[in-house]
Amino acid sequence: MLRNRLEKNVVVISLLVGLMAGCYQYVPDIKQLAFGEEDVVWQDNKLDQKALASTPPLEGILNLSIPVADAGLDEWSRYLDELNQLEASNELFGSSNHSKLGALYAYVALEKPEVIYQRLSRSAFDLGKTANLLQAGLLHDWYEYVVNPDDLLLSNEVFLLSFIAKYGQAAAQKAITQAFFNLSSSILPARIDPGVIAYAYPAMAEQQKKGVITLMKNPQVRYDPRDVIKLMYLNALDKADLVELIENQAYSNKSMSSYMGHAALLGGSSYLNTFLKDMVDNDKQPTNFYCAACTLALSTEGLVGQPLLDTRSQGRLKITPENGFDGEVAILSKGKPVMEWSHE
Amino acid sequence: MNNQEAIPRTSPFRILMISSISFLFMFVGVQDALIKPENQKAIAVVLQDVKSLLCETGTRTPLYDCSQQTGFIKKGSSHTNLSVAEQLAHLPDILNVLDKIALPDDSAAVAAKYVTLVGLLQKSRAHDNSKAYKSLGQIAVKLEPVWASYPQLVVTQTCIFCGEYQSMIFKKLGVNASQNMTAMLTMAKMHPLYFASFSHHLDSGAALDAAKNLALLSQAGASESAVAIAKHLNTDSTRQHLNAWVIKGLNGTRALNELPFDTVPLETRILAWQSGVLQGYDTIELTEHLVSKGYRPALRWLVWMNGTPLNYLRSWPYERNAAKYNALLQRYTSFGHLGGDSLSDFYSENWSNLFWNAQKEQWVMNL
Repeated sequence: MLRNRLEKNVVVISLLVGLMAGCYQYVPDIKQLAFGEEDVVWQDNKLDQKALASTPPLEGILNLSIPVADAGLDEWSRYLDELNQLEASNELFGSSNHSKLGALYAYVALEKPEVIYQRLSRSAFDLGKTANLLQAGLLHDWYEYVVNPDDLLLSNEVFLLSFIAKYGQAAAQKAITQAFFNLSSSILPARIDPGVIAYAYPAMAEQQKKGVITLMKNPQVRYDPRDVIKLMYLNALDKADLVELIENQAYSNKSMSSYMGHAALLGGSSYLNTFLKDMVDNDKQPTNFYCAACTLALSTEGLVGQPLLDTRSQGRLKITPENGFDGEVAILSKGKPVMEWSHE
Repeated sequence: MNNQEAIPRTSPFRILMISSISFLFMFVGVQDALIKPENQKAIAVVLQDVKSLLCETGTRTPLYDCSQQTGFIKKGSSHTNLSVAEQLAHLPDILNVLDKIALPDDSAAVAAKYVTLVGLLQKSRAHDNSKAYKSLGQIAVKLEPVWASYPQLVVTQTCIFCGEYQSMIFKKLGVNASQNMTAMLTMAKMHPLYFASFSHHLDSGAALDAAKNLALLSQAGASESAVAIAKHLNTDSTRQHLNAWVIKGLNGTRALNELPFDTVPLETRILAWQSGVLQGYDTIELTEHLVSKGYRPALRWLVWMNGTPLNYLRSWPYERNAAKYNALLQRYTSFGHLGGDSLSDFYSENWSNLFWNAQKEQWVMNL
């Protein structure tokens, strides 16, 4: 062992020298990791024109002056305006309904949600953008801070999902029921999503359940006819009522008319003549929005394909309403040369 | 007599030996420790913390520069007179571009800019398909530091309905669970794609509740998320939610793809199939399944597909499976040799005499 102070000092000094010598070659790497920038080689290639065309001016983003978390609402509001301006001038919120500045908006939602709540209260913040933020679990206090939150709760499923995540299913069903029946005393038009009503329906009192269809038939209550199908899985509502709800809000043009197929599946035959008229070219609509032949195949029995086309062009098509076991609403057959409903 | 023992003198040779052994011991030990990158990183983190502390207290040393502001773009471009976008557009591919991006510090504001930058540059090189897909792993590596603390910034920058190229990033990032699990679990309850990516971190009860709510209140989106939700719902005794789910969106009907059909109630199978057919997007597996169960509308659909000249019905799902549709008709009917007009003529004349024969497992004429 060590015999005297000299030897101890020698050991300490040698260990220190060993430490420094051992570290020496790693110091640049560690310093680089801790404080430095990597030295990188830029390969100088030909300009990629496509890449350049689809890159917005990045200086605008890199030089953004983001407010500190405890800055006032006015400063955050100015920042939000700046973001909107940057987004609009560089077409960064396009047809995909997704902002290419999503993370920057999310930062606002993280640090200062109040500024977004303020804008939502006066319908001055895009709902698609809000939906993206809600889906990221942000803005979860919206129901407490937005003015007239029931409008958003009744009309938008993403807002409802956020409400459920925060307050739970029972509270959500209660809030929807109350907000929905409040519409009966409102004189203003209101937009609802039938999916939201379907969510609350199982928890409604019997009397309230009976009032759902009545209130939805109120002309002041608006909804997308394509969403009526969301009430179907409840197996609690009369199919004829659902068909009526669809017909009440049908669009004036053919685009986005998948609700016609829903009406046929629910037993409604009112759109059969439209399907037959459009059978050859589907009225040039994409099949995911409207499919005449698909609906005929599901909901009618009898004539198919060319014989059906021929019979119709000869004016001899007979349409016999049917309540078929597998959901058929009519039998198509060859009859006298008339085009009308037959009641045999 | 002096009772103290004399202190032995140390020879130069002994000094040399002691110092050599001590030096080598420390040198080898330090080298062994520092050769490992994780140890280097750990020391770097400590140094950063020390630097922050010292800078906050105003202490200055030559080792670091408190006013130093590291940029998002690494230096080295020979086109410094050009804009950042132009400089980066001179690089050969997305991997090279990613190599030039740096996250200057770990604050949320900087992270938001950084994620935006990575997202925009990823999109700018999306036209180079094969390289774009191959780069996803590296993009995940670049996003990992932010993912760990602020996963919300990453998901909001990612377009979740713009196809697989964008959404695959969650699969890659999800493998390394974020440190911010609360945020992750909330997201899993808010969108089917996040559910598909992160729901394995939820307990089974919470996952089922989330799946039920999404079934009622969300579109199905991509096949992957449609299937993930359906798998959870198929474990529930009430099938109301699964029924709601299979009629959602184009891919709702594909929700049953990874489930044995016989485990799903017939009513649900029919709803899923109808939903697909109504959108010109049927699944041939479900069509075959229902035809083989004697479900008449499925037979009728087969006849329409094989026996009509309607081009809009023969969209890409049909084109991929034309031979299969024909094979189904041959296998499950006694009139499978017919096609085109002769098939529609035959069906139009004989539909009321066609019945499912369970013994033969075929649709046959009842003469």
